[in-house]
Amino acid sequence: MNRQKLIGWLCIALVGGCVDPYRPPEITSPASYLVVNGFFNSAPGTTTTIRLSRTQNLTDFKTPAVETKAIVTIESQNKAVYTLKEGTPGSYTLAGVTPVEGDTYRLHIQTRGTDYYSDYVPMVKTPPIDSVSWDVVDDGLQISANTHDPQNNTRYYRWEYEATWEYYSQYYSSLELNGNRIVSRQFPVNRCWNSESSTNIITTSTTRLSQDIVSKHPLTFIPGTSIKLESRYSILVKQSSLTKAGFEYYDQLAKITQNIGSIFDPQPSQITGNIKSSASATDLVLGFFRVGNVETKRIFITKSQLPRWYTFTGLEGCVTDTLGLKDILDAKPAILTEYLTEYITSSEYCVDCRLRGGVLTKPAFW
Amino acid sequence: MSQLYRITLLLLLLTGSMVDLRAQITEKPISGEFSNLRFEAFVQQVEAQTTYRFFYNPREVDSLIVDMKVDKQPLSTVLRQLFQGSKFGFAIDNQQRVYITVNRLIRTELPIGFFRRGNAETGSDSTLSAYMTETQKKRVEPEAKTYEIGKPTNPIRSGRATLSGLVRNVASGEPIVGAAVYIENPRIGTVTDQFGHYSFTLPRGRHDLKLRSIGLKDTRRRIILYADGKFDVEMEDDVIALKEVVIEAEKDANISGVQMGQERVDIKSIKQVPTALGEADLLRVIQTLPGVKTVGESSTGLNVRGGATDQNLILYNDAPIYNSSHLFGFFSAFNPDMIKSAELYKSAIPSRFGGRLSSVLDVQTRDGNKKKFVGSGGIGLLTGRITVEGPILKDKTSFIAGFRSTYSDWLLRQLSAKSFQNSRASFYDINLHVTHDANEKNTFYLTGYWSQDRFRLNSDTTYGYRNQTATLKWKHIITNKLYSVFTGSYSGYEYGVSSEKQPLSAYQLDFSINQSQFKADFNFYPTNQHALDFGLSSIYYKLSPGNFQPKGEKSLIIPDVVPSEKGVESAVYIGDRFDVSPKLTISAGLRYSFYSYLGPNTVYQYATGVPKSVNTIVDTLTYGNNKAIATYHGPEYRVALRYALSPTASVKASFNRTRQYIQMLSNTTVISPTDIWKLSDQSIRPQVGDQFALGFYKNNQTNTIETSVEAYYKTMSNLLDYRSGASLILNHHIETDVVNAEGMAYGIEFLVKKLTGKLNGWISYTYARTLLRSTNINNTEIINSGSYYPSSYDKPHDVTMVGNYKINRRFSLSLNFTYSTGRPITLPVSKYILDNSPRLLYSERNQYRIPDYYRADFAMNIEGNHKIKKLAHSSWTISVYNLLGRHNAYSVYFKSELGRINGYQLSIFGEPIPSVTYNFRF
Repeated sequence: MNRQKLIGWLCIALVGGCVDPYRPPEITSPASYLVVNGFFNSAPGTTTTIRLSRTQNLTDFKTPAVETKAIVTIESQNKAVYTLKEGTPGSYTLAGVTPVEGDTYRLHIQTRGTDYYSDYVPMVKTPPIDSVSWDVVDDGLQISANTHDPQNNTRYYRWEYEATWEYYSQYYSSLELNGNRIVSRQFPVNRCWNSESSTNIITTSTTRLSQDIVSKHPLTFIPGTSIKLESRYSILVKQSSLTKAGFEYYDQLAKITQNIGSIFDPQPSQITGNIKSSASATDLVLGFFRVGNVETKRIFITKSQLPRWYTFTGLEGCVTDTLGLKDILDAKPAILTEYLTEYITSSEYCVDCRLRGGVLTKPAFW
Repeated sequence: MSQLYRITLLLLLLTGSMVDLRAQITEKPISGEFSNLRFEAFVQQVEAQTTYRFFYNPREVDSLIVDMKVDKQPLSTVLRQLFQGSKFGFAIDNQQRVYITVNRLIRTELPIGFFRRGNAETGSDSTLSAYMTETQKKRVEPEAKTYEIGKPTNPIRSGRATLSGLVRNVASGEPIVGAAVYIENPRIGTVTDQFGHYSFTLPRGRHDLKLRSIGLKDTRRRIILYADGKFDVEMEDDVIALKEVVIEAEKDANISGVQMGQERVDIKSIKQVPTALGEADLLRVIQTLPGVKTVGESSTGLNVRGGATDQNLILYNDAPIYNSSHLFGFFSAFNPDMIKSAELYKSAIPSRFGGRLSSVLDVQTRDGNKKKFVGSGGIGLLTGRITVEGPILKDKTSFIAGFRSTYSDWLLRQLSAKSFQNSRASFYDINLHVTHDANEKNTFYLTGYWSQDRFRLNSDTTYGYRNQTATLKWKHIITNKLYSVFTGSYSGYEYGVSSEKQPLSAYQLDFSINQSQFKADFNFYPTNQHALDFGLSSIYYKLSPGNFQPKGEKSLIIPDVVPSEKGVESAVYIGDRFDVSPKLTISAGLRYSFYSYLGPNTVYQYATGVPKSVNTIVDTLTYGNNKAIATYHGPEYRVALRYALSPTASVKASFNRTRQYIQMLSNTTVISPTDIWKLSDQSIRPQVGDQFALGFYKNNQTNTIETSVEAYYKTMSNLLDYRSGASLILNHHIETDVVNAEGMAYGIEFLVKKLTGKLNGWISYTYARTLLRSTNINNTEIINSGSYYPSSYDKPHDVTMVGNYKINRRFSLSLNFTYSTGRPITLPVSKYILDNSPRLLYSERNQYRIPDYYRADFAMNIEGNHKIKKLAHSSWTISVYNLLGRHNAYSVYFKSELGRINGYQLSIFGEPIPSVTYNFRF
């Protein structure tokens, strides 16, 4: 064992510890609770969508059951009542209603004979995103959000994002097998776009600052070798401002599900939002109802703007093979092009970018 | 006196003629049976038989008893036999005159060159110069001498007298704590206290005073006690006992002492227990004792009999230490080279201690060597330490100073991974202890301690914390039945967190506690049946609960300072240990504590009957400087009794009440550097704990194997829990975020100890539960709907084995084994999708447990050779922590990662951790 390794061991013992997968004992929840997703969108001309579902057991890998046939209304303290219509099962929408600044609203759900009410919440206006910035740090790309509120009253922020990136196959294929014949490929399969949504809760508060300015709040970090940075990357950042209660809810939720695994972890606890059952305190409702708008900003980053990072494409093992028609009919590889009387072939994975998760359709914003 | 000797000597030399030495060869043999004769009678008999004439001072020999049978032996042989090992010497001149002297010999002939005075200085007769300057080269064996205590009377008066004094180590002058001092007929004895002081009352007359202490040679003194008096004894190190017993107990102290729930650990046993990173660690050893639990491996926080980690009074030479850990808890705050011993009180806490609910851990440093300069140190895998000690004024003033630090920062920088290079972790601590014996009655002690920790774990946030203590202690012996100790101490703890990565939000957050304390303690031994102690103490607290400041010019941080808190805690106490009969001893004490939360401060008043929150504040009251905002006081009862069933078995029972006026608020389960401490105030009431304990103790005949069973039941009230999502840092109205709770703990502890022999160690089994419940009925958030739930350190079953085997004097092996039930955790019971990502719904608090914990450790101690004279004495400790490499779960957590819920268990030490430590003494 060389010195480097020995010291590494020591430090793993010291700071890193050792992390193993853990399978909890068979736990089945005593009840299935209502889960509320969505918010009352205050931007004019938008549609508000509230999705209702149920909690599931940890070992249940089916998609969560949606809550259908509920009566969902948004009620203002001034007694205005707006009823949401169920479109796709479990999804309730409201269009053409814009909340009034200064009024407060609550969500009222009536399902399975129980009434659930949220607290009355005010409409919170979100200031625009000043910029989405990126920096090269630690052999990777750190993407951050910058914003401010000149009125100094937003104070609590939350971000979500949708990232999209373009990537290519190892080889371009112009031919394909159609039955027993080799024909020209109908459409190219070497360029794809893949995307992902943020899964972490990203929040911050500026209450301790004299001005309501958020500078370079980290959103996501991409290692330089990531396939996301192979060609061109785009991120759409969605910013919403929160009330203090909303911030505390999301902050708690983040604390017990995200920033954990250190030796000074907080104790996990049951966290519920601002929606409660009118019948029983033990009938929990999960989710947080808020009223407000979302500000967005998209940026693009191309490979040429970045340091010369080598990308781990996962295609490092790709090779070509020159085969005759008979062999092609046997092995059914991907065909790149004609070569004398034979064909240059490779595996489908090296040729068809769709096999690596993306789609061929160019996004509209690209 | 010496002048007189010199003149006598000269006269003798001049009158004595210069006859050939060989005249002595013709001396006449003597015979006879001399049984229990006084020396004078012996002389008469010898003078009758022979022509010898004895010259001596009758006062010097009055305690000398001759008890021997002689058959035709020369007088010189007889006398040599008689005086062997005693202070007496004899000389016989050629005229058959026998001179009996004390301490120094009479020379019966002139030294060489006696008449050439002119160059006597250059003479080679060292005996003469030694003689003339009265240097006592020969060590007198004090065991043979008879000591007279008090003003001699004839006859010895009847009745009792009190004997007191100090027991010290002859080599270092260090007081010996816990040495048994006793006489056998009648069986009366006592044990030396923390200063090595003893005092007990016994019948006047002739006694054989015996002394025993672990690691030291048993010794005895013949005394004649005429009246009350002082008698100091020096004991020698037991050279053979290089690896002596594991836990120091006064051989049968567990049977004969009234104290229960007390464990005493000395440095020798601390050094034997294998630790993760090779360095002897006091708190790790304490954690192996029955009734002591810890949340996890990186925690040096102690949970004693169901108490929280802030309920232990950890005293370092009488000054409390607020954060007893270094480097995330991998090391304890105590430098092993500085420690003499530590005593842990789990129940029957003596009335002189107070202020914490669950236990007292009284750590004592060694006194410096009073005779010569020595040093010691060690080099381990992560730390190095060095200690020097020696006299400042020989036999009067000594010092000991220690420094310990780590080179983990350097190690981290050697690593290529960025995450390690961006991390820092370091600590150091400095100790100084000075002892000054002003005279027989007054001794002064000065201790200073400073520790500092800094770390940054691959992030931009730097944490640092610091402990500082200073103690000045004056021990004054008023009479030999009464002595007093006055202590002034200061204890400070502070931490700071800072971040500078984002210039706009760069900040520095500081927290600090300052505590100044004065106390006076008195020990009084009115009769042999009573041992009284009483005293008073007062503590002044000043806390700065949070000071948040911008760092750098660009920072937009608004300074936020939580107003400082002040409080005074005072107490008076009295306790008496009353030996009702040889079988029954009762120890009863009462401590009465007073506490005031002082201004200046602004406090909020809340509407009654509704949960305290910012919205229910009805009034804001401002108090001026030193105005009492809230006052609490109450009695603390401390009662213990022992009944001896036989000389080797006893039962004991105790009850104690404790009150605590300062508490730690933490939302982690271990002691973390950012925990804050809070004084009791108008809303947060002091914690009160009651403990009942009952124990049965049985030793085998030779006191080599001790067995005990102790059971306890404990209630705790006004505990603090916090609301989920409570923010404890920079909270200006923390009462709105805490939840009152009460606790209940019970358990039974079995212990078998073998103290002597090649194989020694102990095995303990504990069954214990600790349950908590929220009591705020009108609080919005009642944890687990107000029913009892297990605390985070509730580990019902616990088995610990500590074993040590001495192969020979230089090699010994240790093996430890620990098993415990996994600690309670809160697990997710179901999942749901919120904002595109799976989330977890947790169960009620602490309803599940992490996997059971077991671990075996191994250590080997290798001593250098035993030559007394060499440059440095060294030893090696090779240890393997977690020998089986078991991945013991420290915590279990679930993360939502890339849209999936993954469960993980974190083990602090997932592999066997080998380490080598080199220790040296010079």
